Amino acid sequence: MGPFHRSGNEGRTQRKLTNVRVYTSGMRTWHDMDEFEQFLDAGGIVEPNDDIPERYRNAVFRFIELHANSEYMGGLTERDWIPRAPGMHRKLTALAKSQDEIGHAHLLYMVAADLEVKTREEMMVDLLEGRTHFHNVFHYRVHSWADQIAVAYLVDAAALASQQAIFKNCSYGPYKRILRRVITEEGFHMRNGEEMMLLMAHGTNTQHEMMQESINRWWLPSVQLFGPDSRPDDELLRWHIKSERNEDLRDRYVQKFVPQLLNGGFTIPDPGLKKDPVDGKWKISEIDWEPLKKTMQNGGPDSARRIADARSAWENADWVRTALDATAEAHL
Amino acid sequence: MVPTEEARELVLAFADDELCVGQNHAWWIAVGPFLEEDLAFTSIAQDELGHARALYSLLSDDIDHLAYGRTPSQYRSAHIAEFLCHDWSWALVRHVLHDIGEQIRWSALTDSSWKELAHTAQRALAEEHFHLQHGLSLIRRLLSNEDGRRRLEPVILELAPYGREYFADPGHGLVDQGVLTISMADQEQQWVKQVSGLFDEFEIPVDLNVQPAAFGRSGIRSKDFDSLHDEMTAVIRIDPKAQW
Repeated sequence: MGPFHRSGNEGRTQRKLTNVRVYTSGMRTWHDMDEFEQFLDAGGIVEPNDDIPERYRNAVFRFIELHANSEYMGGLTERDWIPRAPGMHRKLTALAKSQDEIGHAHLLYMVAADLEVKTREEMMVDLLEGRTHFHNVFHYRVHSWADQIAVAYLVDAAALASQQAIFKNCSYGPYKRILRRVITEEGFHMRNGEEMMLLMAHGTNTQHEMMQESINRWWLPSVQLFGPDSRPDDELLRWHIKSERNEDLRDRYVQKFVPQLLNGGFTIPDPGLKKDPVDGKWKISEIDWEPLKKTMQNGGPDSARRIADARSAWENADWVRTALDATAEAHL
Repeated sequence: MVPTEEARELVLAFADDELCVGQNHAWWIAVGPFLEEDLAFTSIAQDELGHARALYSLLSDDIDHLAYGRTPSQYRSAHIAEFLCHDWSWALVRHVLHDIGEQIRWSALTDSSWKELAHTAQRALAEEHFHLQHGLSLIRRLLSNEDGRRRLEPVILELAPYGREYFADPGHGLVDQGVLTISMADQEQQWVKQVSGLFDEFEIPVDLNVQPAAFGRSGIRSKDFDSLHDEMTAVIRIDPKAQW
């Protein structure tokens, strides 16, 4: 029995994992955190049946739970405009995209549940009661079809950049394996968003104006998605759950998207934006992070409606879950 | 073969049913009873929209015009396909009634003399197997539960009679032309038998003897169609000439 063993959890290593293959033959243990961190620094991959240090377990759980919540809320954010998607092709792609997001949430909730910090149901109830959080971008309302495009183009690209950085060097095995699929699908979303953005850029005046309004609404939230600069002692970096600092990811995003938007004939809603004459890089204005803190505490412009919609859907369907559970038990 | 007007009417009505059901099923993304069901239900929505697209493509190269560019009276969808069903019990019952119907309708087309239609039917029928398996296993499990039955029974009694409209006959020559290998009347009998058989298992007294008025097929729209159509065309109407 390793030193990280929690009393009352004797059954952990014998339990049936819901969705992962067990890649190691038995439970691996580490004498202390130093040895565990050396294992991580050497590129070690942690599996759910290892004797995982509690601090690591909780950190990786919270991170995956936030990601799962965000995928789910992302699906809800986009659903308003699926019925209105213009034309059969757009409707099918918009629906497929939201299905992907819900599919990601599904996979991530299962991976999180295998860490045995909370069950899937507990995670869902915590989200709907406002006790847990989701990414800032999904606290805003999608006001138009062009907003839907901005979400696919700007938001998904930001999310993809973050996920790629995690995938590159992620020390938690099940999460890394799920991310491979998530990243592939998010790549399609971003390309789909790019194609639609270009159509709007070169479309009618009305379309161009619609797209500009949406860029005005979604630029700052997208840039903020990366979060404030990483702290020097960020455990997520030290434990190789994340592999790049927030500010580096944000800067790379700005360097890529500012020229793309300018080439499309759009303006960037940042009066302080300028190209540095020395290094030739785009520099954005200082970000005021205070509003983001409020948003992340479920106090954003559309947080209340989003959570209320999700809660009402969950409660309305309680009878379905209860009845299915009851019939499943009756057949055991 | 060059399809007759009757054959084209048959395909248009089927396509409109699929368009409306696909649109309605898609509404459930992210708000289903649990995530697995969200994914299953909206995968079926995608299939139904795909069927609509395949059927419209047999009639015109401009699929979007057929799907979204007509006036409400030009649609031929059955009323049951148009109902919004924003309550899960209604959505599930409509799903089952619709897919029992679809399996019969596609089966009558797999050997059609209209070869492109036959190919479409063969592909669609392979998908229908899964739709039906999903709907039947779910409704049977829920009807086996007291609360599930209490919620579903009134919906079944109200919705089921509308299903016969799927088989309203656009004309009498379709079997002679070889477009259909099973007449609409025989398809309807199969549907009545299967639906009655399903609900007999749970002693739910569905009355399917009432002849439906077939309003949808004659161009009269249900109470829900306007809102469905407004949503489908909301963005296109901003600038109908623009490419979206």
